[in-house]
Amino acid sequence: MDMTFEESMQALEKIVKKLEDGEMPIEKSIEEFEKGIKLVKNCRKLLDTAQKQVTTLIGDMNDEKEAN
Amino acid sequence: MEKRIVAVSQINAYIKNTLDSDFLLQNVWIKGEISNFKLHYSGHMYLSLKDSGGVLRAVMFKGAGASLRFIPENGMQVLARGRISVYPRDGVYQLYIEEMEPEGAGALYVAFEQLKAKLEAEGLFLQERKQPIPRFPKCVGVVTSATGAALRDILNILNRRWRMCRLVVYPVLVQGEGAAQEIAGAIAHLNMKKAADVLIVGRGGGSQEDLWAFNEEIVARAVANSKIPVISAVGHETDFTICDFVSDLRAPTPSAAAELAVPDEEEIRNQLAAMEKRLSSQFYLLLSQRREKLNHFANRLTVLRRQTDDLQYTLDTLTTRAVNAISARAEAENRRLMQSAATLDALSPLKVLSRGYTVSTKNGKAVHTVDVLEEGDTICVRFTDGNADCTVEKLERSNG
Repeated sequence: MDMTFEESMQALEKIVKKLEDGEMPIEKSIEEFEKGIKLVKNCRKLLDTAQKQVTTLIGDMNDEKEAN
Repeated sequence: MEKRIVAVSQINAYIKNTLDSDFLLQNVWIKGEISNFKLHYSGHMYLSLKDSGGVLRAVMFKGAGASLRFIPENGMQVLARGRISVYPRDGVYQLYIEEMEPEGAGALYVAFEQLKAKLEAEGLFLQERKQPIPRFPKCVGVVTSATGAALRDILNILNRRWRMCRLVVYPVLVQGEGAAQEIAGAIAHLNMKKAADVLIVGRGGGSQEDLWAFNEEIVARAVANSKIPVISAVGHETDFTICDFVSDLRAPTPSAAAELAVPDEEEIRNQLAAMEKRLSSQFYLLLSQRREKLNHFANRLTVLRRQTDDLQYTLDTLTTRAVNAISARAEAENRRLMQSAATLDALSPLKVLSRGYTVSTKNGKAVHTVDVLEEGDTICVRFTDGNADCTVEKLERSNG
């Protein structure tokens, strides 16, 4: 799943809401449920693998260098 | 006595020299109220200072005026420092102002209020101009001093709360000469490079003078023009700067700005867990609802089945009863028919004839009595096996 964290969270929130609204054919709700679980996993994976990067910009020289 | 005659320009020059040689008049602070203020297109300012007792003409040339931190206005009480001299062409003496500050409130205060009023009038503080801060920024830009405590605080909090973003630190001077230009330049640069999706612009606490760069118009304009949402974080909670007003979000301190810029990972994990739970429980609820519905229909089907069975049974019973009833009736009818036939047979005149009796008819009518006969009548006598036409020879009544 190539979604950003934000997209995943939004999609997940939408699915939860849709499921809670009910009125969905059972096949569709199984599908949505599976999608939602996948999204939860994706979000967790993104959180687990997140690594902060700090870049310091030296504005005058238009130069970027990595720092921590 | 000989008249000493001098030209106007000579006397003006003389007066000018006299005044210019007066030590006191070369550098004097004068207190008064501004009137007749006029900013010439050349950049020079012409005004009068007055009090209840008099008026003093004054001029502030462009070079001196550039250092003003507020815009002079009529009615403003000011302290002006400069020298008194004569403008020979007009023959008037005036104050050549070197520096000027508002009396009482202080120049910074007045400058602050003036810029605030100006930008507010332009609509730069309006709520609808504020851009939303992204919920999950991919890159946070920080414009502050490389050496200040503010940067350390911001980095600490960002690291603690949210690791899933990049951080771009753009070090700038935050006070003193050129600080405002650097801050504004950094904001513009980050915008040009689209280097972040939210900016924290600020510094730690300090005196009003220390925080001044964040009250300068150039910084305010840079923040207002930023396409990247800006969180302003200048000084302490009680410090308000122009930068705070034009920013998309004001944070009371740099640490608070970091907290506003990114979500808290732990909180997000909790939200995820909560959504996962809602997802499952909702799903299983849906399943059990469907199952219940299914059971309900199955039950109704069983009931309907039982009802049709009952109906079938009733139908069968009724049919049997109807058939029985009809056949009993038919039998009875049949019996009656046979009986009638027997009776009919017994009464049949043909049966009597077969025993030797005859029946006579006259003109087609049965003759029951001799009274209807006359001698010579022709009657028809019927036997069991045929008829005989006979003529009445003689009538005789039997007595009895």
